Amino acid sequence: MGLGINAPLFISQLITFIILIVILWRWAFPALFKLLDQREATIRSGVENAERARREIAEAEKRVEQMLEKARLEAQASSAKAAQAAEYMRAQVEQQARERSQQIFEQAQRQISQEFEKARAQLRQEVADLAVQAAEHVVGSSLDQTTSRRLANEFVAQSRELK
Amino acid sequence: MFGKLPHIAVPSDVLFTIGGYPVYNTFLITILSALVIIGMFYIALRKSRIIPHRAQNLVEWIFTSILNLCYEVAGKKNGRRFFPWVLTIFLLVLISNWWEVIPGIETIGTKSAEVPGCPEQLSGILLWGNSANCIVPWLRPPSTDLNFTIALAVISVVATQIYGFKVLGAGKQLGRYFTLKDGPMGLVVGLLELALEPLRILSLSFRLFGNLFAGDVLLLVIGFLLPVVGVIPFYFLELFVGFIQAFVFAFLTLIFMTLGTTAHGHEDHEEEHMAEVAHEDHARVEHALKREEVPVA
Repeated sequence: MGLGINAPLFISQLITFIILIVILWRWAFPALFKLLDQREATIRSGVENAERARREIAEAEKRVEQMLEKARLEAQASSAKAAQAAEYMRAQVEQQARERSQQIFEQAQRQISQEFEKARAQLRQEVADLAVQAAEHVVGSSLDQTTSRRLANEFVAQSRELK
Repeated sequence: MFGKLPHIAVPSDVLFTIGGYPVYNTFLITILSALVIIGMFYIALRKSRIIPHRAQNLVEWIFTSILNLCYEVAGKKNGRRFFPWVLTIFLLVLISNWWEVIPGIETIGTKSAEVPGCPEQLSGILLWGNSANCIVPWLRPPSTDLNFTIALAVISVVATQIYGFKVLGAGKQLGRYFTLKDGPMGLVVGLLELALEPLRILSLSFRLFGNLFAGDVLLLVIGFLLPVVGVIPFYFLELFVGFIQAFVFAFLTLIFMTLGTTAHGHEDHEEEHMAEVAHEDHARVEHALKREEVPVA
């Protein structure tokens, strides 16, 4: 025997099923879809929050890295500046020391020179006196005081020239 | 009356044989139900995304709802262990039950003069009047066949026993039924419990069969008496009953499995179980919080 369909009941089933689907589509499925949409929204917001948090963490890490880099550069700059200041101070102190030593040296030179001149004048005087005394011994008292002084001075002058 | 009430019989009908093995109309639709479930998962998981599309969302929703139920009833470890059974039974029974409302079920088939009251000669494909019910239907809801419901119940009870032996060990599992620890009364209670195991098969299978067979007959009879409009409320009723019966079958399986893997006579076991549940709840909350940090693939 071939295919057979219980026609009245099948038609009844068909129409009833269509009505059932329409009713479900109108009232039941929207509620189900709403539930599923809410679930999807929850998952979406969860994933988005996680993504945002991940992005924020990455950004924060980047910011921290930047801040560290900046601090490192600042520290380097401060260090260089401090070294520069120290060098400047060292140069200044050295300059001052050099100037001071130069001053002391020049002052000492001036004093030596003065002492030298003074000693020479004194020596000249003493040589002249000795020469006069020697001449007096040689020529006795033939020459007066003034003449013998002149002669002595001339002798001293000559001896300086000879020198 | 323009039709005839379909021939109602408890045994399902043989459609054809393969190598002498009869193929019943309920078996055919059981295979179809399995294919529907496989197809549903295939469509849902074919292009799965972190933010699910609608089919994936529906399947995930069913999946997580049943999984959470298993966790709540059996705890984390056993819940996960029992979950595949519970979900599969729930979906298979649900789909099997809902076939009732599909047009063509029990109304399309092979013309047969063997149906009582049918004429010898049946002409045409569409059958009207007195010969309208002279068919052997190709499709009949599996849950209206005792073979299907008993098979599921046997699977449920046997799986429960296997888990009992696996989780508790042979000594404790057999000790549930044969024990003199609580005196002769304990032995009687144990033996009663042993006698209850096969009765569970009866209670599970006949509950499902009774509800669904009655529902199927109801739809056919009301469809015959009050075609189209009169039967609509019963369609909703059957959708509801189909869902409830699928849930009850799956839930009872879960309960039996949970009880079957719980040792008897330990006062502190419940406290341990409570502590485990509390610990698992805590872990679940932590897991949920961590999930917020999962990077998008």
